[in-house]
Amino acid sequence: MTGPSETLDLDALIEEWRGPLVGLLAARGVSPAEARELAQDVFAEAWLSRDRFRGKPGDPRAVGGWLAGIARNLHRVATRRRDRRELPLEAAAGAADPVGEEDPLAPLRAAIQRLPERERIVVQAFYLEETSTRHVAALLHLTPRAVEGLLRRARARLQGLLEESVTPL
Amino acid sequence: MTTPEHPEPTRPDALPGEEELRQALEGLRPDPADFRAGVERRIAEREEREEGRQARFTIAPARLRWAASILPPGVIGGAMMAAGATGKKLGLKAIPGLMAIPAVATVMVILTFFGALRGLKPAEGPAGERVASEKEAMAAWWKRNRIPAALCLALFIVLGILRHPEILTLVLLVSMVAVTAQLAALGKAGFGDRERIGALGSQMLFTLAYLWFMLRDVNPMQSLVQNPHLGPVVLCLGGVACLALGGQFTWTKLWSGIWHPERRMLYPDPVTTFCLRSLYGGLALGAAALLLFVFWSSTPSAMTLIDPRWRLERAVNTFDQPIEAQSDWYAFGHIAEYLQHEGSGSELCLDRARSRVQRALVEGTDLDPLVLASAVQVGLATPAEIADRLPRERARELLGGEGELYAWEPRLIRLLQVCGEWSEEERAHLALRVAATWPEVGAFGALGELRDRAELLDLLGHGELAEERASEVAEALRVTWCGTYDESAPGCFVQTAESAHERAHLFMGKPTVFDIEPTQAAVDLMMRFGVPDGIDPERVRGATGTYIPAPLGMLGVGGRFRYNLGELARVQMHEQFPPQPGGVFGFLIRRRIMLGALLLVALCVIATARAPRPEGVA
Repeated sequence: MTGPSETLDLDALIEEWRGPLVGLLAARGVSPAEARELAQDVFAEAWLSRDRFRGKPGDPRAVGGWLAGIARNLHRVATRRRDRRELPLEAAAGAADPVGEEDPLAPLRAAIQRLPERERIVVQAFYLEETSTRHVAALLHLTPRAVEGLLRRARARLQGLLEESVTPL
Repeated sequence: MTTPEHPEPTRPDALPGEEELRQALEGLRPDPADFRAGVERRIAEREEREEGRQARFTIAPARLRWAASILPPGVIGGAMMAAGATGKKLGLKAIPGLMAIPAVATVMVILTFFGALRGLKPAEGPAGERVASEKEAMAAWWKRNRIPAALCLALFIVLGILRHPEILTLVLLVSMVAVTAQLAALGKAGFGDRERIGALGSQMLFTLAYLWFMLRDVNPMQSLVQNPHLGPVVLCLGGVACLALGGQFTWTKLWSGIWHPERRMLYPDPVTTFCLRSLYGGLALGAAALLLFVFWSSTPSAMTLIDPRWRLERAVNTFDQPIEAQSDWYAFGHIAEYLQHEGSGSELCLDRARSRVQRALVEGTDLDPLVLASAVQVGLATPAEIADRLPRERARELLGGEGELYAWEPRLIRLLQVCGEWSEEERAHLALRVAATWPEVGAFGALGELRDRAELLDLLGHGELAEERASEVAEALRVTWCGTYDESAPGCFVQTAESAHERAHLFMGKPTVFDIEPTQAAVDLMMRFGVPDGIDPERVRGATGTYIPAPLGMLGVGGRFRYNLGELARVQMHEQFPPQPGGVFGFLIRRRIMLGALLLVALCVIATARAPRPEGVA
């Protein structure tokens, strides 16, 4: 059977979507290490079930939607497992993400964590690695313009948060 | 400009730079080579595991593999299903697989139908891909099993046309038990998973519940089960239990069916989206909600599952219809009289009805003689209270006349009799006139009139005149009994002999609300005169089970209270013509369908619980 899956290339898939996916998963409250693990699971699952992919491999919207669906399922399963182990979500998220006290970027990192979830997801998915707004938009079922708008708003909000953090009480 | 090695401290007076943001997220960034290696390792592990499962499946007994190839797509995985058919001749070992075909074919018809419905609304993204892939798998199943499935469906149609719903239900039940046993065996051997097996189990239970609900007038089902809705409800609850065990009802899953996480909003059409995203969950919730609604709306309390008399007593105790609703008052009087005479020990509390009658008497409202007679008979009023309303002028005319009575005159005779107005000679004279007013056999409403005449003669103390007409009564019962024409149908009675004849040719074996009154009158007649030859009380009992007040009655269509006459007929049949005792074997035989349903539910639940939990992807 000839299908679009035959032209999917694992290397290209990983290269193109690794950053946005890890960023997306990390912004959903899992630790960085777990986000990386989950993203690896997503690519493995996608590759093994590639026969079921019906879109065009070159279409970021189709590929992004497909990967986002798998990521959503895996994240759900992981959350359920974590709930069973009764590990608090915040603890899990923070466990492997130490913030150095002397790190000059620490305030910015802290500010990113204080962004509204939607903006935090976009910032982490877009800035983790070199990627395009089209890819982020595809993962989030948004338009590229909407992603650009969210990024603008997020940066403005970050500025405000940083100002707050340096203003003496 | 910052550099990766020396990031500038963040300046609060400017927007954070893009490079700064990238630097800030550096801790999250995976190493490309490690990441790639991790993905490859996972792929290799999964492939190895899948190969192991397939290898185990290949060495599983041929019988199991062959039977598994008949199961609907997705239950044990596509690749294994393709490897399922062994190509060997299995002989007797193929029987479990063959037995499974009717149930699986029925489920597949439903799945294909809903699959086609889902295809009508193209879904984008993963949902659309899933629908397309399911359609493909279903087409492959039909291609592989088309001949046996077509034969089974043809058999069902023939059984339907020949009206053998009991055989049809039994075939399905046995077949579903066979499927469930296979599912349990597959689950125990580590094939399939809890989610898929639970989904198939619930699908079967819901299918059977629907069929049972549609065919609930099947004689053995409700003649021996107190409430005909009990079976479908048990099956539905079993289906919901299977889905719950299969993990279909987690909050996350239900919520994800209607909530778009990235857009942070409900889907525009949550119901459709939920069904598209969770076929089994949507079907299950719809079926359960519908059946539970029908069940609860028609039977107000779970107590009614245990004791139909309780329900009837409750209906009479809460009776509060306007005095003008004559048909309801006739029914009320009739039911209350039976419950008082054939009491179960509990006292009726008729205060509401009594206050209606008393108010009408105070206000001077015109009252029908039959309503007044019933009121006196069940103790809502005393003869002294209605003394000034007795039509004594008419009484003299009745005594002066000869021969047949007018239609309404028996009511006057009855009223005056319950008030003790007639002397012995007068009663003898009137009894002769009543006996002369004997309805024609098979005419419209003859059963009700025969019952009223016989009761009146008994009331006048001349029941022997009714006895003389016993053969006519038997004939009237026979010609209006639907069971004469169709041995598989429940035996209700209808208004005319013509109607009974037409039922045999119009595939209208199912009793309707229009048959309630003649059937109840017939039960009264059989209690008075005995069951005529050729009429099977078991089948009459089967028919009375279908008259439980329907939701239609709740909307006021056809007079809700009147439907209780059907319930009265059921109680009378249970109390006056109890099923013949047949020992333990007889008990089991009479309850075979219900026991089969319970067995099926238990098997489905066990098969789901024993199946392995789903791996990784939900």
